[in-house]
Amino acid sequence: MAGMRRALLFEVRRVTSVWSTWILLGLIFLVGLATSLNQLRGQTSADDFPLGAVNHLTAGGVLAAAIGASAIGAELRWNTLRALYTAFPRRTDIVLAKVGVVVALLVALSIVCTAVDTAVTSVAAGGTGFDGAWFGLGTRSALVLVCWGVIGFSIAALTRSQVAGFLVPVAVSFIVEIGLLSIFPSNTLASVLPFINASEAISVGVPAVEAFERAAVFGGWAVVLLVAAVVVLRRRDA
Amino acid sequence: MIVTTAGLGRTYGRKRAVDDVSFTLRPGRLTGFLGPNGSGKSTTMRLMLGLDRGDGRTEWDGQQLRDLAIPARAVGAHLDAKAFHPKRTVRRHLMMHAAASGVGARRVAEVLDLVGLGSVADDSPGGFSLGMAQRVGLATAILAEPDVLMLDEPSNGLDPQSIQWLREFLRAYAHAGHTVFVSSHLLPEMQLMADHVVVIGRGTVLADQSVADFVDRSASSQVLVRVADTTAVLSAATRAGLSAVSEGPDGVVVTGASTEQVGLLVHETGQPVRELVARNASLEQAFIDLTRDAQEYTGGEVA
Repeated sequence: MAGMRRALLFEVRRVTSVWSTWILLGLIFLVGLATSLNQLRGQTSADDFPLGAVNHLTAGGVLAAAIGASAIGAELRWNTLRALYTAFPRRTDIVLAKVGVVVALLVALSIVCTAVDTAVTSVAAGGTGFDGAWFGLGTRSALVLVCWGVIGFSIAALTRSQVAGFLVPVAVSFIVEIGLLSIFPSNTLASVLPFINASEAISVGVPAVEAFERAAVFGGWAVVLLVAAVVVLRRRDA
Repeated sequence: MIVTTAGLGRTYGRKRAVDDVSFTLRPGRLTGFLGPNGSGKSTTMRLMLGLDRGDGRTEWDGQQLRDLAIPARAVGAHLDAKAFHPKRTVRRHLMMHAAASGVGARRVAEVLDLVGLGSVADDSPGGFSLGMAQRVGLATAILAEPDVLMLDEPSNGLDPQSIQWLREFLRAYAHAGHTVFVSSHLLPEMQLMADHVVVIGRGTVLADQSVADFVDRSASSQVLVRVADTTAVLSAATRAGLSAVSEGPDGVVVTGASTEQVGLLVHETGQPVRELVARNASLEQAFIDLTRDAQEYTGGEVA
């Protein structure tokens, strides 16, 4: 327990002491805000109110993957992994601390973005609609953002590449999945692909229960990749 | 803290990089870790710290490193030059590592002054020279005042004054009761610094003894004499039962004889002595003698 406390403090100091963290978080916030402000100019109706909960995911997922990737990728890139594992020979502590801090940052950011973007969108939509749909969407948007971050972390760890941690999710979500479905159009296939499900989970038109199921599929992929990453990081030479 | 390694081993592909390496590091002394390039020094250090997976085990006062309450207070290691984020200030880098060992900002400030980085504490180390970067690594290693200090080539990039400072610091650190383990290629420096040496060659331990014993065991007295006719001196030495080899155009190195004996030898040949020098035994010569056949990578003869 004491080891995990030290690992968390280490990781908080690490992640908050470089500009790149704040730049990436700021970009997620700004993208969401820009999307919301754009709705002010468009034909936004009251039904579009819940969009405030997900506007930051216009590009936020990709940027969250970059945040996750840098949590372990920076150690590889700047040759600090050996010093890290010397201080924390129980590698699971520091790995989980890294994931924990990424998750906490992204949850906090999601809450802030949802609050701000909802405020802007409510002006565009001409009213407020704080109902179950909005809360459900807000919850799923946080979950999706977090999972993007965890997936970025995991792929960076598995590939030993910060860049891959960012590019692989992008490539899979924008190219591979679309390519697969165009070659093998199948609802079954679509129901298991991670990023298709992530997109459906935060889609306003999807019924809540189905949307949460989609979020669970995406979350399942994140968990599987994270478990693989933890196993590899524990066993691999530093 | 006593550090005991037993049967350390590691294979990369078909190459056995480290094979059955065992030795003990004791507190209160500085142990030098010597070996030719590619002999397995860095691999051994990484195996000791659990950074690489391999055979054998290393115990720290009888325990595994992972079982210690605060490992960073047990061992401070500096294995890689420039192991820091280039944009994170030196102070923030050390504060981050302070979290790992539970030390505070006051200790960070102390260490910054101790290693001479006080004036650049709030600078980003991305533009630092290798020498400055080595100081950052040393500061990180000593931050928690660990029982054991492990440094891999810490003198690289340091100017002579800094090397002297490092030598005095490490000796003081060791003689204050800590365990210090330093690998280096600077053998004259190591001779001034180390109390004990572990020599490794082709992945196996070749020697594990005090510096004095190591130097004595493999070096014998030699005398260099410079004369006009080296052939005559070589013949005279052979007749006297001494071992002698030529060195350069006018030099002869005689082994196992005093300067007086060599002087008399040259006098027999009827020629004047241009130079007569006794060569004292050195760590460098002892190391070269011991590891001559354990070199992984050798250069060609210089014409």
